[in-house]
Amino acid sequence: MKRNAHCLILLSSFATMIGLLSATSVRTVNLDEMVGYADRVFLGRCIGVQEAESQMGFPVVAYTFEVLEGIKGIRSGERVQVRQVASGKTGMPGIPGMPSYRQGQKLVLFLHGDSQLGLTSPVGFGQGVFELLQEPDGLKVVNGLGNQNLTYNLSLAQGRDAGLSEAQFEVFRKSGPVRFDALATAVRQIERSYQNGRKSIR
Amino acid sequence: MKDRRPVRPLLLPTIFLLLILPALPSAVWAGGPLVPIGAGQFLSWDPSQPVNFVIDNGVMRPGNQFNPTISRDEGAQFVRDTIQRWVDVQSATVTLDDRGFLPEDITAANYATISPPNRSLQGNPVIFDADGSIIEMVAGAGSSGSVVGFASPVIADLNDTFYDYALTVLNGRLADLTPNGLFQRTILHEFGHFLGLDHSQIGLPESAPDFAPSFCGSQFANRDAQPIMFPLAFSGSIQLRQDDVAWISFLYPTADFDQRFGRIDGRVSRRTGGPFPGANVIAVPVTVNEGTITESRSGLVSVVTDFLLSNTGSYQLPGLPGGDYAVYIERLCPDFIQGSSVGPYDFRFTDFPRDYYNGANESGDGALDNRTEKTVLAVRAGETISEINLISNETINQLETLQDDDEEIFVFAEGFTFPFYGRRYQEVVVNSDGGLTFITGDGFTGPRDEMRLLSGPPRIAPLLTDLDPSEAGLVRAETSADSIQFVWDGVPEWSPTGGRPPNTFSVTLNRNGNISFSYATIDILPDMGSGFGVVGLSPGRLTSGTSSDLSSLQAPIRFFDTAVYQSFTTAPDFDLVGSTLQFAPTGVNFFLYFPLLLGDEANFTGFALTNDEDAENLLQIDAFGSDGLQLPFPTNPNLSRLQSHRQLARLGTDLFGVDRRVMRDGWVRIGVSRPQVASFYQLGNGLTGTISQLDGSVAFTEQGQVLYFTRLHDGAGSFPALDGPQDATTLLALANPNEMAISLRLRLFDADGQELAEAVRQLPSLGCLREGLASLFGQASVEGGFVRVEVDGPGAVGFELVQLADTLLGFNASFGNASDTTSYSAQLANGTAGGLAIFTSTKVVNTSGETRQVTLTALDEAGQVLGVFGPVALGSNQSLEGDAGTMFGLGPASGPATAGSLRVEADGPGVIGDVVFGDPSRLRFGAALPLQTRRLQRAIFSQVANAQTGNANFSTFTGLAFHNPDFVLIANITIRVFNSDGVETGSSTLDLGPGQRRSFTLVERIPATGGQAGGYILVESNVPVVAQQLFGNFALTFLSAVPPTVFQ
Repeated sequence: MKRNAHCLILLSSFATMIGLLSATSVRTVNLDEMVGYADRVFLGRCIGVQEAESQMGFPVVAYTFEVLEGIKGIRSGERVQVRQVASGKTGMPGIPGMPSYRQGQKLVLFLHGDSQLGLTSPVGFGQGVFELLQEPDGLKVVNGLGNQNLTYNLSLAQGRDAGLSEAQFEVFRKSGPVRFDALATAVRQIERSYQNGRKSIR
Repeated sequence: MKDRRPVRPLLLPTIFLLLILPALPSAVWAGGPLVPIGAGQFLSWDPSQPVNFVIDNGVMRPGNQFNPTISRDEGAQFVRDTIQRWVDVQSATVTLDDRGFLPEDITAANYATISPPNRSLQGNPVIFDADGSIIEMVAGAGSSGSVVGFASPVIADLNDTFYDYALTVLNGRLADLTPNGLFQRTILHEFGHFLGLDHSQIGLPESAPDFAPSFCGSQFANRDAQPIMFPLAFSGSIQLRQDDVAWISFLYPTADFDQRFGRIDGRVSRRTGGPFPGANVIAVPVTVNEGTITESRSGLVSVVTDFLLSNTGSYQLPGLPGGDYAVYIERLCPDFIQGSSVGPYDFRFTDFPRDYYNGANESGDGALDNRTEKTVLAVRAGETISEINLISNETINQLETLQDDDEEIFVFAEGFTFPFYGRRYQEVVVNSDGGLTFITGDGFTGPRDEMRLLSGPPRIAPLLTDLDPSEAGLVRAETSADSIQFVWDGVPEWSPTGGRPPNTFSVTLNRNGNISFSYATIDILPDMGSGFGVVGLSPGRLTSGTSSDLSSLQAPIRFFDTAVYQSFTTAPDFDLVGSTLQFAPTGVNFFLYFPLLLGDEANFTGFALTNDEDAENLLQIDAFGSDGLQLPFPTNPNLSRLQSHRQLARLGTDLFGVDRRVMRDGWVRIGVSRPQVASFYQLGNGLTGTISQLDGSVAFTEQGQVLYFTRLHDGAGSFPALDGPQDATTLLALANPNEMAISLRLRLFDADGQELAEAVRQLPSLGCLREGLASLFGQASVEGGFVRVEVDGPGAVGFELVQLADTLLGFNASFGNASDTTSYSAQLANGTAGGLAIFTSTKVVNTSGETRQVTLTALDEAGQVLGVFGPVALGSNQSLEGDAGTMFGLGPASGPATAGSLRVEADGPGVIGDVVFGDPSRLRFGAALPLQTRRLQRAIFSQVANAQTGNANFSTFTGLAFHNPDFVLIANITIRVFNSDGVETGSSTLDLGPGQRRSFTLVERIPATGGQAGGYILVESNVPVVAQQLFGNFALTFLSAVPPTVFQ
């Protein structure tokens, strides 16, 4: 049975969930928040992984992505360098739980804006990293929580405010893999609602 | 901080590298209740010291229109009150040294002043990232909206097992002082990590209907049981659970921890008997009422098997209050990996049900083992219940039951084994996703990509992609005497809606190690953003590889130590339909045998090889145990390559990836693809201090059907010395390099040739024996004589170790000298010079069936006769042992010094012997060598150790001794020294007249080799000569003599 595809855990079980804990604790963020916190959202292919100069005592890894489809804050065809603090290993400096990427991997990333040090990370760590599933009915995506967070603490009314239709909301509420184009459309709609004056969560 | 181990100068520098770089942590941040680094060790703070912390000197949270300010003192008190819960555990010694406040408020602007490597001088900082700017600095703009905080304890010294610095950052933007709130739980959880704890899985339901296997966050979970260190946080009481208490106490136990609580120990095995790492084991308190066993909802303690990386499937459940318990195993949640991992194994076998321990009824066969049957264990404080061994219930060979992302063990038919990347397997795991894996299965959802093929278990992948045999088709096996074929017959790709076309392909494993893939019909789509599929072979646990166009490679496609594969990124690239791919392992056809591998925390065995070929040599290095099985070391066999004219020197621990605290006991076989390889090995102590015992030899390249051990001292006072008889033991090591069992008849003869005792031992194929004389022959004391070993079988190899209090004498067994009548030693020393006394003891044994007239002649450096002993008549099996000073009239060891060589002549073949030389008082240092019959014109000594330090214990020398036994010709000898990369570092020539002998340190002769550590010495001579190498330190706490590998 598919772990990600079939993980339809009842929403009630998430009512008080704070997200995955490691030596880094991250709270659960819904799709509306993810778009709000993200500076760039794109479907990309990782084409390079390099160690970079450490910052503030943390080892840094530089990933180069070819943007296959820009969704927010970036255009298709661009190349973007994503510099992240390395995921901490046992007893070694780093930020435990920081997602990492492999060369050749295609992903949808929701990335925070670069800090003054040029560092970033996915929004909600694993929540902002979507793997791709090529299925007969199209390309689907699923994140590190099996998309269970997408409507966490998000009411239908709030979804409407964010520009989502009831049908769209229902798609995300079910969790599990969603069509990439559905996610991309929703991200663009939510972003438009922010641009149209809806109060930014940031 | 723990005392650092001194960095010692290097006798065998590459061998000793492990001392300087031990136990580099390999697990990602995760690992059950604590952080293992191998061999029973784990990271923690030094339990003898309080763990200090110092709090930020700023507000925890600035006020705004929605939330009031949380002041520095309010925040600090909240943190103190929260983390105090770890301190309050009565069975743990965790103490915190509260160092108050940092001198200033830490913000993004001045954060660098306290972060590694600058560190806070005041202690381990707890930072109130009041506005989230620090988190935003390191995790990007906006990240403070979701990152609650992190704790990052680090070790600065990789020799250490103690943390020495930690940094905790709490995000003020998400701070909330609500008692038992999520923020407080987060602080408590993060400080659990800070103290060295990792995640625990307790309280999950066995499955959640309709939602399995994502039961990790299930609403059906038992929150009463879930510890603070559970990977998911929920609101509710943040009281520490028994699991938290048990493991913090395990890390920092009070003196009476073991008395206050009981413990359950055991092992978990796979159905096929192998160790099972990565199963969750839980002890649950129970009550028994009229035969009904009721489980408690609290008080559970868990651990992940092999949590200390022991590779045995072992577990321990400490901290159990007295009472009745049931124990069960369960799979770990598949989502609990990477940053949220439970235990150190992200790849783990999960295809088994929850299974309770039920004593004698334990079985891996679900038909025999009622997995719900519980044996109640009465745990008492202060006691350990051991050997609570469980076997996971698994089906075998039922390939028709394979589901999507599933796996099934397939046990080969009796007598069929399959060699793959150096290991021989009796079973394989068949995975739904188009491949076979060894050691562990691979039935999980995740990218089926190049990285999975490289980094996972050893794998044969005819088509690694997302296949679903539960929808249609079948995976089946067809066996014959010499091969097994696995067929994916009409199996479609997984799809949520079903209906994908069938795929048919197969893989065939041949008994000889050859593999073939055949493809009939393939119709699949790219998988999970990682490509279309991967085809090929991998030894597993690799970090990189190169995709090749397999169909363009010459058949059969050869493989040795690297992955051979093709990653198909798009469907049109798949060009294998209708074709067959053939793979064949590249063989190692020549073998070097090292009859003894020993080692523990203090003692080591080191190996050195020099590739004298003009081409690369492939190496397969196997360590076998007494039962003939490969010892369960992480990199056993070690498959590697040695470039032309380069040298490799490694400790056994290094070769096999095993921590030095893990016992090593067996023998080693090194297979090479080309024969011209020089060898060397040494056994000794010194891993925990100065070396005082060291000796070794070169490898065997052939076996003997009769072997002789010529130097026997076993028992109290069995070794004569000036200070009085010394206690000694003699161990005989024998190994069977054959594919069949052999029988050994060991016969002990005294000096008069009388047979005193006999022992018979069986050695399985590739098995070995290491046994002392007392055990073998039942003799209270043995001094003199020899042991003859008769092999019923193709042959064996052997090594003997004579161990005294301060010295180790070791040399290879002799095969008996069937043709030579003269033998030599290039080293004969007697007397005192510069305050240093030395003696030489000579030993000759007549192994022939006839009496031999034997003459021993001592020659000086110029080849002049110093003394002659004999001729003496040695009857069959008689032996002669004596002090050279006495035998040749050289005087006592306290007298004038004499140095020279020894020649032993007999009137027929079969006379063998040895020399032992060293400190005459009590053998503070000493070395041994067999008498040499094989003279050399081209040979290699495979190690150089000229370490130069200010400490005589760690400064070492390499010496050489040559003797020209020719009566007429002058030997023109060239000595060339190379470093391990094959670069010549110096050379010298030496002319030796007939009978002459010279000895010198390498530095004396070739000053450029001063300080050289590693490398080899090539010796060439126009006339056959005798030579040997000597190692020692300048404090002379040890001496070791080694013969060369003779090529001509």
